[in-house]
Amino acid sequence: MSTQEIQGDQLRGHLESLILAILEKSPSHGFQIVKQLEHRGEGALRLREGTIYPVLYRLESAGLIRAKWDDSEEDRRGPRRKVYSLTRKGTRRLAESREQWQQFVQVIGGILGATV
Amino acid sequence: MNIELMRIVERAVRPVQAGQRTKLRMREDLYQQIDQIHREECGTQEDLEAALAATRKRFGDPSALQRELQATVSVPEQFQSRIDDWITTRRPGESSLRYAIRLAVAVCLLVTLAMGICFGFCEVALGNTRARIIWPFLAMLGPIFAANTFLIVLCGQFALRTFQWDKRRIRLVNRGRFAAACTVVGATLAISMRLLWYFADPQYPVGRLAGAFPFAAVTGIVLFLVVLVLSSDELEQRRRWDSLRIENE
Repeated sequence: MSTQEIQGDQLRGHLESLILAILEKSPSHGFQIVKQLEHRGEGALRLREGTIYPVLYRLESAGLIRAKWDDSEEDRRGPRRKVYSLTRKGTRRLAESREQWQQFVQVIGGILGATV
Repeated sequence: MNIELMRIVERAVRPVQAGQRTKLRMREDLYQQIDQIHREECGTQEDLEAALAATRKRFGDPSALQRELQATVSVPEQFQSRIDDWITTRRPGESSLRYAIRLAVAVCLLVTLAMGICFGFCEVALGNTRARIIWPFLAMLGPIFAANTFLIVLCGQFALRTFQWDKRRIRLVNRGRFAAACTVVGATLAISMRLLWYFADPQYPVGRLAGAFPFAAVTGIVLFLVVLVLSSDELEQRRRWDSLRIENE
């Protein structure tokens, strides 16, 4: 069965949790987060890359992630970049999201009769 | 910075109702993202036009992005930014003279209104008629503050042009003009202080205040310098983005 692309509203509802999961592995800047999402989604995730920033701003104002300028790249070409990392509150929220997702999959999967 | 990429970002950010610092942050974040996308596409596409088209597609629709960015701005910040846009922020394309006049008129109205309320409160609510003695002073506060605002804003705009923004640093390139702007600001404040004192008490011997006028001038220059240096980087960045012409404006 071919893999269908997941994009738009399907993706939008889960993007916050996905970003928290990416940042759990290591701090990243916006471009790397998008690349990681596409890589770990095995090409099935397609998002408009600009839209990641409103999500990052929401996560930052909720205290789930923090941002700081990447000073280690003084000599690199191009504008300076911000690196995002998970806070403790973000780690707790990610754990809650995983539990909710497990429950969601069990309930919906049971109704749909989909195999897991 | 690539002007075409800046335009794409600005189409998303300019209509957002938010504080100027928030918008600058949005512009910087989005620009560095689109710049990286463009660099990647330049390495894989046939030519620059194809790379730009691919960049636009990957980045997404600016109007949809603008709505999502707007949703991240709190209601109090939106309200404050409307007030700022109306009164204090220089509008894109607005000349220095027009901006200085608009700000001076706003200051005059606000100060006169505030003094009028205080004066009326003393007279009517407290029944205190002694405030009538200093009514010339209260009446002149608005125009004098307005004149100060007009001159300081013009000097500030003039002084900002003596700075040059180079990558991430700002440096002073014309010390003479900068010194002239600071001198005018100092003189403005000293003269204003003299005028206010005259309206407060025309009989008061001015000689006793001889030391106060240079003090007002020096204090004014120091404050002007501090504000200018602290805000010059931000003002220069805003000028670069505000001067962009984007379609459908």
